Amino acid sequence: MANINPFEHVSDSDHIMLFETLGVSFDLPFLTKFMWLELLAAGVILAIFIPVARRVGNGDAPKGRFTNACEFLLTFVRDQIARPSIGEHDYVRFLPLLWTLFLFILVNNLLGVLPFLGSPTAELYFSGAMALIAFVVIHAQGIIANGTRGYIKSFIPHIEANDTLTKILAPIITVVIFLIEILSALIRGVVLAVRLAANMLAGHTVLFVLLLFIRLIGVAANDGSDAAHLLFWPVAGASIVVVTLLSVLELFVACLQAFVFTFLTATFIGLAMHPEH
Amino acid sequence: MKSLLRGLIVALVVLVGAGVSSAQPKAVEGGVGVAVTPEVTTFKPANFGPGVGMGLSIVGLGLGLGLVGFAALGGIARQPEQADTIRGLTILLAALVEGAAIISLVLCLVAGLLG
Repeated sequence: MANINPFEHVSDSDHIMLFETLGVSFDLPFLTKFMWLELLAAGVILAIFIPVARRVGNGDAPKGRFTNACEFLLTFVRDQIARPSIGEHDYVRFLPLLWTLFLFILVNNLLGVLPFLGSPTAELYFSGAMALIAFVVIHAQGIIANGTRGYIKSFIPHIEANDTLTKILAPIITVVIFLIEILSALIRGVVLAVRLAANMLAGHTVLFVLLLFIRLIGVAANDGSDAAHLLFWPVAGASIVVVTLLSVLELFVACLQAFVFTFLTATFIGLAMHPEH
Repeated sequence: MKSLLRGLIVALVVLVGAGVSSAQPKAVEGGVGVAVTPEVTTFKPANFGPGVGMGLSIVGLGLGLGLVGFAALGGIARQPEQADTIRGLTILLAALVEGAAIISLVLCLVAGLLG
């Protein structure tokens, strides 16, 4: 058991492993598993949302529960995420980006719930790519809205120096806080990526480890341990029940992480365009 | 004070027990050259650092989520008509706090596996 890698089922590979001990697996051509899953997610989003958008664009009210649900997602992003964070005037420009980020991350997260597939968002580089796109948009919008000079000036804090001690310390504090603000802009981008990747990775790794208990106690029972013989069925039953409940939590976390990513991107865009200082 | 002492003694016993029980039986060379190595889980008692790190991050997470929940329940109790706004903000803040803790947990796990 020391040679079991708990990340093996959650990371990328070039085959879909169905049953390890029977040796059933598909080798995937050209692209790795996660790349195929991302293409699948993109295909699913296009197949679902282009007809919905066409119907809404024609002015018809959405009919049926499915179209209503899709439209609910889109209006949710527009009214709860984009409009409050970016402001009434500018939010329309960012809606395609926010919708794409939200839907793509959501579908990729949800692919991890299906058996034998995986969630590509567990790969740090994929979340990093999404965060890089968001990062570039945030700072480019800040520069466009405020000018380069004005945007860099928004990182400099304003310290009111009333008495002599503060007057002496103010330049030092200003420089330090300026550096901290620049650092925090970089750190926000990195944390955006790592939060998404770590949440998906940790969730599925915990599920894997809980199911691993069944194998461990099975091997121990096979090796002749009496306690393991007694405990096998309780442990197996409890493990499966807990894994099912945790999978429901995984569903919730998948939707929540997509929401948090989009919400933070919208908030940072709003802050970059209208610095509050 | 007494319960603290008791807790420390229990922790010590658990650690020593983990160390003792992780002794791996050596490979027994049978007469025909058959090496029998039963697979035993090797918990290195030296994986102490990542374990402590994980425990501490869960302590921080518990405090953080507890505070968020406390404020949320207090707000809803005082103004039930704002319940929807408060609920949305609570979920968001809980996700942010939990994100930080999960980052720490995953990094501790990686440190434990690589170390």
